[in-house]
Amino acid sequence: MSKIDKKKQGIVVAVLNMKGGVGKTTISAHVFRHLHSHLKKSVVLIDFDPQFNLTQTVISQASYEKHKADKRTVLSVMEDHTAPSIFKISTAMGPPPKLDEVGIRLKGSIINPELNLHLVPGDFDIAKYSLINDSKVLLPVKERFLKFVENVRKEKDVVCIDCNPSSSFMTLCALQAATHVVVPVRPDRYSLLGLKMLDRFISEMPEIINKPKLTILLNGVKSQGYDPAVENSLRSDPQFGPKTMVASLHMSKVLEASHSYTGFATDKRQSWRVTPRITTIVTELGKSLGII
Amino acid sequence: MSKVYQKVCNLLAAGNFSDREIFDFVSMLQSSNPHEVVDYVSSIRRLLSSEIYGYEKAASFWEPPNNFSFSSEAENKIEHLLLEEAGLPKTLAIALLTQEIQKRFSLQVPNESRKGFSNWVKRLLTILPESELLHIATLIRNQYVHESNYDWRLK
Repeated sequence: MSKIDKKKQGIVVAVLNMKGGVGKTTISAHVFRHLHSHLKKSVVLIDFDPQFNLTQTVISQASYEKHKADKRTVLSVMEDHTAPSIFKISTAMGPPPKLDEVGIRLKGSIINPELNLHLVPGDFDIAKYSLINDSKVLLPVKERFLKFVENVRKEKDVVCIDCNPSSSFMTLCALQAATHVVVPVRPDRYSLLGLKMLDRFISEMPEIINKPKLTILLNGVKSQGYDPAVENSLRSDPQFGPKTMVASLHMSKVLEASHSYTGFATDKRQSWRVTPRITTIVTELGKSLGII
Repeated sequence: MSKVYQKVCNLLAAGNFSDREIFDFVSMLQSSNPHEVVDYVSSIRRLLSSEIYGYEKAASFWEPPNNFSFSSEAENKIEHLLLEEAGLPKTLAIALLTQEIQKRFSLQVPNESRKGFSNWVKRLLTILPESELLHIATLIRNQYVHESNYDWRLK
């Protein structure tokens, strides 16, 4: 069997809310890692936030520094290595790299080698795109990113893009590449506002021709003493209610970032505290994304 | 401790699984349909007894069946919203859900089940996406919970 299945066309999921701190990275890391193992899908995680919290969650600092020195980060997806300075972009833009040139294989199956989980590490240097106002200058960067994602879709089942919470150039790149958007929403009114802003951004931005399908996932639900007022308001909303997943992600220390642990929550010793819930989420999400 | 339980534990011990894999297995089992698990085990038995068992078969052996279904939280949430929070009698909850579904989708809604409200909701979930049904139930819940406050309106 050839490595690249020509008929394959994976899905591209942008994990995004215009409000920060809603759990984008938690969902990109732990839910999509479990989606890989539970639904048996090949998954590529792209850390598309200059803060690169996703990368810091799943690989060690020493490992990251080695990959950064080898130019195996998302910056190499956006442009080649000839950029004259941090405030300028490369003028001689070649084709995008292959996944193997920039991605790190984090998990894999011995029986089925094509069933694996990759990470394209983040890079603080992509913050420079927020400082460049001329969209013409950034056009080759965007085209290179879109081509990279298009190529990866031919090999993998799911590409998950962990976005940063702003209406920036990078958000536009992610939304142009995305077939689906998973919107994490905390049960507070501010993250509902972020959801509405995102929906408006997608609807009104003419560059986003193929509008991605929205799926809303409630995150940070308290296991005890929970006030469902915001959840009821979201679920009864005529536009967003039917798009809100029934399963929600509960608050848990196992999901929180910790200095003493680098890796996925479902690989921790205490994973049994969160795995059944993440399994329910992954099963419903798989249906919503049309992959089961 | 039952004999079957002991035998399955022995198999898990002999399989050299990690604690995490056993946790995953048990949680997956809890959320699985027993009939489908039995069917799946039967298909593995057939495969193991087959003479053409080889690498290609072994690889596909590990793929989960696509129709493998899992229980949903929707039934419990809908029951809680309508019967507990809104305080609706079961027959009224069924009538309101039926009315709202027919208004929106013009679907043939199953008749009230003798096996109870939860079972009737399960049957609804075979014709409507669970998020859509929960949306409708929340709308009805909000309407009734908020209407009950009208008694306390200032005059």
